[in-house]
Amino acid sequence: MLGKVLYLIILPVCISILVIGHGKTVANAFGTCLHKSQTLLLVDLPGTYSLMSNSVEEEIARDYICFGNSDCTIVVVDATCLERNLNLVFQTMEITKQVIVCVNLLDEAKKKGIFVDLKKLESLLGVPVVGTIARKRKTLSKLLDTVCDVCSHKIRPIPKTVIYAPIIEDVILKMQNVIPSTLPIDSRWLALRLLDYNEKIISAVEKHLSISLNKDVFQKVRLESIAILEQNSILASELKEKIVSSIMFYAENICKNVIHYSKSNYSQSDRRIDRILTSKMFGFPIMLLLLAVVFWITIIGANYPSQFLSNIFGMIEEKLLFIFNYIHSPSWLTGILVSGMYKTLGWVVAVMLPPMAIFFPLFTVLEDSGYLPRIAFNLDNFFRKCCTTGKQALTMCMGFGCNAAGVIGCRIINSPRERLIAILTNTFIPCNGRFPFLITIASIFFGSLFVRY
Amino acid sequence: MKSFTLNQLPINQEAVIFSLNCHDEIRRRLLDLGLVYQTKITPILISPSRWFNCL
Repeated sequence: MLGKVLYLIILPVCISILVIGHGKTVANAFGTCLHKSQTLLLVDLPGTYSLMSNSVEEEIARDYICFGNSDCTIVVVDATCLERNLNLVFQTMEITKQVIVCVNLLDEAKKKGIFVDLKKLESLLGVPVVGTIARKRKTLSKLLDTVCDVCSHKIRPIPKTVIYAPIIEDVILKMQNVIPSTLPIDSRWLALRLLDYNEKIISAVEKHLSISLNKDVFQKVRLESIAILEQNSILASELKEKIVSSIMFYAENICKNVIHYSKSNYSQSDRRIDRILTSKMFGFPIMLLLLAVVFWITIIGANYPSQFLSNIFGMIEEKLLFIFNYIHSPSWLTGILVSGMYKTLGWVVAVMLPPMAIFFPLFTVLEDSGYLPRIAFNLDNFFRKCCTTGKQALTMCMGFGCNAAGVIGCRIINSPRERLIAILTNTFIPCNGRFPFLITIASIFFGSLFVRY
Repeated sequence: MKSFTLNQLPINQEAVIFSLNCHDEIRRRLLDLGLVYQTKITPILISPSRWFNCL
């Protein structure tokens, strides 16, 4: 039996003003696993804080949860900042009933003296809650057990619904009345989104369910609802805020009952490091120093493997020439195949592969350490002066490794205009493939200006 | 009870959000993070590039 499971990573890709996250997926990644003789198909969704926003990754996540026909959705939350992540949990529970909450990073929480009462959280949320430490396999198998139970309906989650202000509940009901009951999506959730009149939702519904909806009816009810809300002094633009307020109110109450802090200053060491990394005096010098170190290691360190590879390819070339001579091949053929194709291939691999093999792991270390968002934070204001966003600092860093990867990474930028600017200017960052060429030209034309006598 | 804009709020000074008057894009981001009316906030870091504004 094939059970489909959705795996939703909630830690976001990037920020521009606040604290850090480190989700890496921007599209969907799939995987299968075998657990207790059941094959599970897992889909990893983009990291997001909420499903209401309009960025690409959030739309992908939302579309998959709504229309992906999954048997179960796992929402992964960070134990160290549970309140903020419960926003996403509640939003997911509004879309689908088959939800499992996975409270991750319990070891980090323990280090900071944060204790999360998982049983109580389960009873308050109405859905299964599993605590995990992603590095320890034992905890993951408990998660998979719960997944199998939910998929086979041994456990039937009853998610807690967020009840909004009475007037909002009234207009939700009004909208729900005009939604066809044959739609497989939760009508309350759809009603809420239609009240917001999110065009993209309607086209997504039509596209994925291959039906066409009567937009005029929805528009009519929406206008009536807005009129009712305005009579009660809620502007149309404030509706979303009110909805999020209600959700956060529930989240706050739950967290008060469920989280116990043994230390009041649990994030002090993190803050101290942050204060140095983003300080006036040390912020930029540290950044430039790290960049210089990374490049120095890449360029100097790549010399040795380059030399080695170059020697090997040279040896093989001699052998090849010998073989071609032996079979009396015409000189034009030897020229094309050996002196042309093979030699070029050897040069390119020997020169370009070592720097890449060194740069990308270094970049990964920087990324895993969580330093990249601090770079974006430091440079954000400068980027804003250029009418773009601080997230571009991240795509530019990626561009040092490979421009193509940097350009693909630009999808983390929400605004289309800023995304275009980031894509176009990414080519001005020298990528690893261009380094050897740039260094050669610089040495030839400019290095000679600094010849020592 | 004084009201500030976020940039006027000194570091480590706790405050309560009264309203969000901002660009749509930023408003959406703030809502996603759960920063709504009556949420307590404390600024803890200022970007160093802000200081270069004065130059």
